[in-house]
Amino acid sequence: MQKIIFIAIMALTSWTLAAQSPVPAAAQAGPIAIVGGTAHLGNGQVVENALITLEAGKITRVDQASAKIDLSGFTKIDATGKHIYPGFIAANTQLGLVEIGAVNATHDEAETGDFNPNTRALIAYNTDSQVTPTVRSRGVLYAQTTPQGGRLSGSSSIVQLDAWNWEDAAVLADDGLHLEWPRRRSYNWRQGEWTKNESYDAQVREIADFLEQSRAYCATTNRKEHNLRLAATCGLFSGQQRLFVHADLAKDMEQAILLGQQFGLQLVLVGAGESYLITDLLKTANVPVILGSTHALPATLDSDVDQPYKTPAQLAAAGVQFCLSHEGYWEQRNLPFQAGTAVAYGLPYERAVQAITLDAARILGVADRLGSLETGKDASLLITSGDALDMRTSTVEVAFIAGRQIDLDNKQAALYRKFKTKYDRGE
Amino acid sequence: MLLLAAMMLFALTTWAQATFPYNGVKDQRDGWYAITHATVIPRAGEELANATLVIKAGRVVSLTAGGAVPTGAVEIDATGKYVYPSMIDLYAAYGLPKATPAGERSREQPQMISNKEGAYGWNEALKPEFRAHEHFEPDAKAAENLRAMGIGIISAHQQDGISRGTSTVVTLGGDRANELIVKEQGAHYLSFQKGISTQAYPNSLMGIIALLRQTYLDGNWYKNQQEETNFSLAAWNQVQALPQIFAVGNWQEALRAGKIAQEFGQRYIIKGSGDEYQRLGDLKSMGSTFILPLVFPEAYDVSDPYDANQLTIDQLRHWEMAPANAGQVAKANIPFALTTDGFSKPKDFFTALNQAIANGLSETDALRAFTETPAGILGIAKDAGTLEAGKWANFMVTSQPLFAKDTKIHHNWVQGKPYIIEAIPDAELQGRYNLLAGARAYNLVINDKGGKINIDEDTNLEVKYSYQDGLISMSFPADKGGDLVRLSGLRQGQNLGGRGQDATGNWIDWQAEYLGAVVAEEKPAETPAEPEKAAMVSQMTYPYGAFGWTERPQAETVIIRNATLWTNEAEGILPKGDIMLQNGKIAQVGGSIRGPRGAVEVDGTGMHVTPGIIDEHSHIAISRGVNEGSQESTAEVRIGDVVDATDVDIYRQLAGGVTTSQLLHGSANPIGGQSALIKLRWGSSPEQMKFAGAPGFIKFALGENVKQSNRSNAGSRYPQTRMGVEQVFENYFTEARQYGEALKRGATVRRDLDLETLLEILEGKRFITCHSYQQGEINMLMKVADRFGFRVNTFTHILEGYKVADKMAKHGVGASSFSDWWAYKYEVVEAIPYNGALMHEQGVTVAFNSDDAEMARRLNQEAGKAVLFGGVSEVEALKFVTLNPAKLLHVDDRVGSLKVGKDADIVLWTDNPLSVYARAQQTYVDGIKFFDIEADKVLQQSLQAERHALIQKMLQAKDGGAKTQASGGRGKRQYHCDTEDDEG
Repeated sequence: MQKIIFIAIMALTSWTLAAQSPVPAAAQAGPIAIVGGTAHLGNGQVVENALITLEAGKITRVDQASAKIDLSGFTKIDATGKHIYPGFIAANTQLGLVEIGAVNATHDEAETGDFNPNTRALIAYNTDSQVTPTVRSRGVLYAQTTPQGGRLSGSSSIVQLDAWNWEDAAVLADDGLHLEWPRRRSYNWRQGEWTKNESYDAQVREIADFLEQSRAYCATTNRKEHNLRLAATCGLFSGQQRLFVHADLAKDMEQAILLGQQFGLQLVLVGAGESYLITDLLKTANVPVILGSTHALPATLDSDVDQPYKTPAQLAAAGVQFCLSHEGYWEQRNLPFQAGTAVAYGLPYERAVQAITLDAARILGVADRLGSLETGKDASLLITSGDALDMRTSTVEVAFIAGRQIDLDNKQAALYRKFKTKYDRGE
Repeated sequence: MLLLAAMMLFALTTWAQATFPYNGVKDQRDGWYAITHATVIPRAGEELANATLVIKAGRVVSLTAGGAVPTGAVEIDATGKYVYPSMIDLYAAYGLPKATPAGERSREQPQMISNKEGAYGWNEALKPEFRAHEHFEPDAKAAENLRAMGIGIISAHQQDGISRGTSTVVTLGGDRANELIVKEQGAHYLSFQKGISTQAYPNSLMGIIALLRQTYLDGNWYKNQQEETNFSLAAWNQVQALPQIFAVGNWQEALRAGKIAQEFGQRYIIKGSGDEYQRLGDLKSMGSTFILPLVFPEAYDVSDPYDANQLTIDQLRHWEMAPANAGQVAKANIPFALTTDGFSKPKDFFTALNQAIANGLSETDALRAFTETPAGILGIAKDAGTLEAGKWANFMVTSQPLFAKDTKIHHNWVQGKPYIIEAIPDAELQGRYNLLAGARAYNLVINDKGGKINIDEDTNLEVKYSYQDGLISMSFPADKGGDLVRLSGLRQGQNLGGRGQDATGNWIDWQAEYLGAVVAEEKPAETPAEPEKAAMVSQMTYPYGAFGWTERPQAETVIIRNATLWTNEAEGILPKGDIMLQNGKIAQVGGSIRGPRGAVEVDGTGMHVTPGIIDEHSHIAISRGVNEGSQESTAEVRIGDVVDATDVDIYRQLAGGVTTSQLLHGSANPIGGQSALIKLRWGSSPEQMKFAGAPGFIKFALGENVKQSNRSNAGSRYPQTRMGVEQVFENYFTEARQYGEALKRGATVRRDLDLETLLEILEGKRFITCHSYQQGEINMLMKVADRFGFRVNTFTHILEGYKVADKMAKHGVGASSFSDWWAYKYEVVEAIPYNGALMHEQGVTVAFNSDDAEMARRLNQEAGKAVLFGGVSEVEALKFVTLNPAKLLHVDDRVGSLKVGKDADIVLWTDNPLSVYARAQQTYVDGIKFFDIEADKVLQQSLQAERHALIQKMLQAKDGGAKTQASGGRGKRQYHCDTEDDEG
């Protein structure tokens, strides 16, 4: 038996405490074979004792380790007893747009004003964030870096989390626009009850008007007056961009779907807390859902105690296309546990994996390259010592982004070593 | 009638005019009347038919059956009418100016002391010096409206502040204030509402309670001191002799008031909120009299199912149950008065009162609650509340029994003076007449419905008429569809007659000869079926809301078999064994148990048993504010005063295996308030939830929150830096030490609850949980503690504890941390998820807490992250959320491990408890199963069924024409450390 190299990241690292993110990994140098282990393909299938080959940044084979394949020239990684997953994808996150929550100077996710379709999250995406390496080391390798605020917040982009700058971070620039749907009612804590939003109808009309103007604008090619805001929406009408509608209440979502249909838009609902109430509509209208954090309290006092936890299973059972997400930035490292909770509350395991891999890739429009361990896709995957969806066992040992083996070190691990040193010295 | 109206204008009765000059010839009368032939209800539960009520000079002279009218008295024939003592309302702001703030609210600096000028107390929200009788001015319009509700006497007070000062007892006459005030000071009014005070303190319910407590102590101190003049405290002491009426917002507040009363030897009369039916047992044991409102919620508009979904079950139930409240309070033998508070229209008031009666309140109880009971409370029973010789002539004359449908109040007599609400109709006009108008004769009938003439057998034509004080005018068609005959005339004896014009315009004479009374129409023998009273749909649950139980779960002998037992004791994890719970304690652990007969057997095969989870840092189950952050030190406030036993998060967390939670004050100020340790005894009263015998804790805080770093409008409240934070502690502990020394010397010391609490810390009797992040500040507090000779018990959050873990171990302080939170503010940019592991390795007792109602439901998984980050063993990791917090809270002799004799607070998990897949199958507190995953499914279903039934009932009510309100569902505010304000 050949001597198989196991690559231990921690030992290799030369990252110091000089408050810098790890050096982005170099391009894949030679072919790599991952041998053994349980491969969760991301499309619902599992291959036990798998063989996966990575060449020039692409997956070139997904097979059984027992297959008689000539692996000479391949660097082999023994994954026996380990688990292999496609890189996890964090949809709807402010990762790289916010560094420190309470420090305004580190916020770049929300532009002032209501209709900002022309603002682009990618431009503000900070590849040197200290937060990103902590997320990446937990197996989350891609993010939809997403603007917030106003009505039309701007465009998000799909980025890979090991980059020099926002240009080489971009996997799919400006994948879609984000619309904060007005809430027909909101909780007024002073009154202790939900109060009606009296401007709701006007706010919805304002959205419809804007789309009407945009559609007309985009229908002509030789406008003399250029309008940056309207021009930024043309991708919606040409089918190149999705409209991500952030809404939680069932009726709000229904109304958003109607509007989407009126303008022939590719709609995705984000948040979608009450999506379990309108599964038939979601299915027939073919509207996918980026479900907001399920580590959440039930939306009403009388809701089933376990409602948010079991929503994924309910959507799956009803045949709604959905992926999981975990709004915020540093919290993305716990995205796999959202999937784990969904399993505890009835979602089949491989479907849960799919909800943070292939289904996320599909909903974000990058399934041609990402989301599953399939030949021809980017060689982006992770190897864990145990079940990645369970905090008890989810140690990520190795991760690749497009064949590049990334450094899993981060500021927090470095601080750990630093103070380990202090105590080891007895100082 | 004419007579009465005239008297109203001129009557000046004998007891007035003591000092005021008059113009012209003095007109003083004795107000001598006899109301005859009425049915008089002299007091609730008694009745006198054909009674003669004689009054003179404002008082009742006699009440006799069939009594003669004294010569000299004016007789008022009230045949067929009813006479009741008029009502007394204990809760009204009548005749008083609206409260105005003493000064401007400061935008920059928090207002530390009162803006009120003069030698008054330090806090604007306490106004014992407000004496309503010095401000009372009658309001004719308001009085008229109140009289129309049947009220004769009011305890008028200004409804603002925590101490609202005293009321004045006034009658609702139309005279000068001088004559209307019948008792200068009726009662002292209090509430849990700060009101319009612009002062920073208090800004939470617990602050309000602490302020009350301190004020009782200050009042006592003031009696024997010469240091200061304080009109507020002087007034406070003076009003203590009066009845104390305390207005509350819900039944839990009633219990809180009861607790304060008990502490200071008071007994409050509780102005309730109408939800008393939700907790009758506990309220009865207070021994208080209640003042109950009769304002009931309108039905919600539930026609849209999504909108209806927002409503909570207790809102739906309250719509159905509120009208039954007074009846249920009566049935529980809790003494009570009623109030018209909240009503502006008499009609609405009587509708509500009748609704209460239709829902179980007896008429006698209702009347007593508006007469004798309030009279007794105000100490005016010798003059008011019943109709007896010598008492004030305060009574109303009604068309029917008071509580019958469509009853009209004709008169409301106030101290012998009549006020006409709706004149007694002219029954005497009713009858059959032979009408001769010009050449033509008609049969004329006037009954209570109006007038008619018969032309022939089949033709009845309507007669329009008006009659006032003996003069009549009427009109009717000469023939069917014909022009009108118009007549005008007067009543002479029983006949009518006069002049008029016929249909052609000719002047004619007319007469109507009285033939006799109207013959009652033969009614068909139908007895209109009482509209079937819809059955009550609402369940009675504890607590009164979703997932409450209908029958109190009991501790049983339970044996869980063949489970993996995480003992947290020397034997570690027992892979397969039994555990028995008995009498609320753990009776046996491990091996195969031969239990007593009748024990409940639970198959734990494949499952895990752990001690219940203890959340060392929680903000659930707290009413109206988690921060009293208005001063640098608020050590006097107590979370234990404001435990909210109805919070659904208690149940949600039981579903996550939590059995004990330390409810902490927030982190807005360096020295926060006292903590409360509760067990999640779902459905119990707030007091029953408390962990008995647990030592006292207090919350301290350091860093950005206390120095207000992240506020957009950073003010100048001290401290604004970590330098200042240290000095706050130096200052207060120095003060506390001096306070303690003075006590020891036996000096006369004003009991100061703030310093007293800090002294407990210095004496090792109270422990600190300190919100902290950065290593520098952590080190600082340990050094302060060293200097003052005490030990910091727990640092909470402590995200940089790993940098000073050795120092912490040496000091002996524990750590209660987050597993992996960071990056949310500047002081946590060096937080690491290995923090727990590093501190643990250095010998610090480490716990993981939630500080978050959601995460508390998954604390077992947070413990799992200690395995992931830093490689803590699974045995030790589970202790992070069980035994270690028990140690930090000094209750590890009671909870935290599976040990015989400890409290049976345990969780049965479906999986390894550190796994994301583990769900609590059953959660026990004191051996009582408060959560069961199977029972939860049943609860969910029955909740939905009950909601459905109530919604259907509401829809029917709407179809039946009931008014509705928009369905704004009740919600809950989730508290975190930095939540400031009181939403009450």
